Amino acid sequence: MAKLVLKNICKIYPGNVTAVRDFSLEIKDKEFLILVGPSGCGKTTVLRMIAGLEEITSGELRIGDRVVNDVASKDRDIAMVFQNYALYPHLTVYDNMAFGLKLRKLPKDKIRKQVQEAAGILGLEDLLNRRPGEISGGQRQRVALGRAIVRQPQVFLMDEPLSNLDAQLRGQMRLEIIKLHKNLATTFVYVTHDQTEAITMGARIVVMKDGLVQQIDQPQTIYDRPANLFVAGFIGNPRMNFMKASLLEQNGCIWADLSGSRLAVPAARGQELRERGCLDRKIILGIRAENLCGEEDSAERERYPESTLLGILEFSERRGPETYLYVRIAGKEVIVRVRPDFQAVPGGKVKVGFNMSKAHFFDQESEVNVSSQSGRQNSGVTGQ
Amino acid sequence: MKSINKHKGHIKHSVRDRRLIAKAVHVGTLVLPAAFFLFPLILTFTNSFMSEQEIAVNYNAVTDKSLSSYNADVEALNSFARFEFIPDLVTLKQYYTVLIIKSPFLFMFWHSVFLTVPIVIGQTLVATLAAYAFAKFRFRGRNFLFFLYIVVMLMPFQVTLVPNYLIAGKLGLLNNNLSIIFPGIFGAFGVFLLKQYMEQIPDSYLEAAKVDGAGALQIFLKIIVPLSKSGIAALAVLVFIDNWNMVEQPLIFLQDAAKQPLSLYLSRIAAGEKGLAFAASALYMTPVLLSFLYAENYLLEGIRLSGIKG
Repeated sequence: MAKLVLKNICKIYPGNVTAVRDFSLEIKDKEFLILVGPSGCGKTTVLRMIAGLEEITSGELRIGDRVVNDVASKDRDIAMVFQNYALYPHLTVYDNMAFGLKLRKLPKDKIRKQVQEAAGILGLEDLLNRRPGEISGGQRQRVALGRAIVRQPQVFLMDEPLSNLDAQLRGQMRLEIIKLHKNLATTFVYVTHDQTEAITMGARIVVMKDGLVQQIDQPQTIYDRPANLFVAGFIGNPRMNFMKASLLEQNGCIWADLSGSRLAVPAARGQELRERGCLDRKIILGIRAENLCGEEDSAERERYPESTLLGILEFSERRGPETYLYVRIAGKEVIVRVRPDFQAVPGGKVKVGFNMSKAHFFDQESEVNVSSQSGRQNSGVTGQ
Repeated sequence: MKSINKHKGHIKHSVRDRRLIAKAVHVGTLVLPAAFFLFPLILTFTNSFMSEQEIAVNYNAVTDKSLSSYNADVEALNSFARFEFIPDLVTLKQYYTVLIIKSPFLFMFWHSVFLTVPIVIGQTLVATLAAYAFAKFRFRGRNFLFFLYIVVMLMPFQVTLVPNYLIAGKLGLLNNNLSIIFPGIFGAFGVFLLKQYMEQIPDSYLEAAKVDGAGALQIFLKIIVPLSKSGIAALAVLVFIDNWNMVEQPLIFLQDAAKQPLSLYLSRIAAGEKGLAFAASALYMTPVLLSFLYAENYLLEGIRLSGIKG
């Protein structure tokens, strides 16, 4: 158990390819931290640098009180679960789990005890004599976790460990990993490109793009107060709706103007935008599907009558507990979440209400969230 | 309705016929070359159980003529050997003569073993380590060095023969088994074959082992070698076959006939001893065939995974 400190970490590959830029972060002892971002954003590189599988070009990495930049992987007291599990195919499940302990020359009975304990936690007792090729994907995933936990390391590193599983198994394993973290009370650093995994599992999330940290915060804060356009679009399913607009003041009221169609901004938020000097600026309006409502949700719509626009329904997607409408408004397709029994005909007109108190406003040039709800101030952004 | 059914039946028949023809062509194209390659093997083994007299009668036309005689040449052109597969009388006389009466055969057999086994062991060991370095380590000049290996591998044996001879001479190894064993051990082919094979092993296995606490040598012994078993076995068999059959090297490096291997024995069987040739050949081929049969699966898998054609 230990805290991790990454200070101004950079990774530049030969040919001057920068994978990670100026990455600074403190991971608390026993914390479950998630690194999330699209492919090529540098999240796996950060994890591999922590593991000692990639050299750190510049910056400082501490595990506990030790600077470990030049310490070999085996001496960092970490364990890693790989995306493809990396189970040795020629060894049995038992031998795979015992591999690290045997290398450390632990007594045989101690190895047996530790492996059996880990197998008990993960329900692998009956599989110990099988080879990885003879067990299912989910079981292999458990063996990979087992191989990590028998070592009782200070830090667990997980590189997209669920990405090779089917959706159902992935959900199940998510819960098991959360339970495992609670039981082991050890620091977990988990890499994923799946924002659902990030939101459901982590105590804190680091969102990355192009080697830079975009936002570091708790999952709900990132969802509610994204620091910029990228984070707003990346976190959340379905993704946030974005529409180009400009902020105007007329008759003492602030309006978001979408090429002629106007949406009233609530007075309190309008005041904040005014104070921030956002008026008469080109912005991008961001609003999530659940903050929009359809024609039939009249009670909802009446709450913000001056924030209603007419659109054409392109199609609807029924997902059981809810339905998503894809509506074209002001030349842009927006996704609206409605009740599952919402009646809509593709091609027909739909009135869509905007809950502007939940809307976000991003600067068109810098893409930073300029609205008062932004978590920018508290997000711990360390990138350039 | 009837005509439709008849038509359908007709189509079924023609599809089946076409499949049969395709299969016949397929089998034919495989059987013909197989028969072509098997013919001398079967002939050698069956003829090795014939008596000397029977061999003499069957192969008189090709062995009993003096090349210096013009008339004999003309006669030889007009006569043919008789390929008989089934002996009139099955006898082990040829084997008895080769193994018991003619002592050089056994001596030369052991010479072959003493030359081939160290080369197989040495090249397998060296190539496995070198291939591990080429496949899994990043170091300056790696690609250039490997390119040199390929160049050496592509060179015909005759090109490197003279430099090898000069070096062996300088080292005082001429007429010594080591003059053949050393160049054999440091062959480039094995490195090439195993490098291709080891590149298929995912790096994540090595990284997992590294995180688990293994060093480079432990990774080699516990991960790379077990996972390259087929490739290593394939290499061992190929090196064995290659070196068991060597002719030029012992002929040039080992002037002393008493040190020469079995591969040179067959060429020395005199016309008068032709009755022994088949048994000697059969015995000579046996280790190669056995090694192939034993390691056939490894060989096929090893060659397939290394992406090398045989």
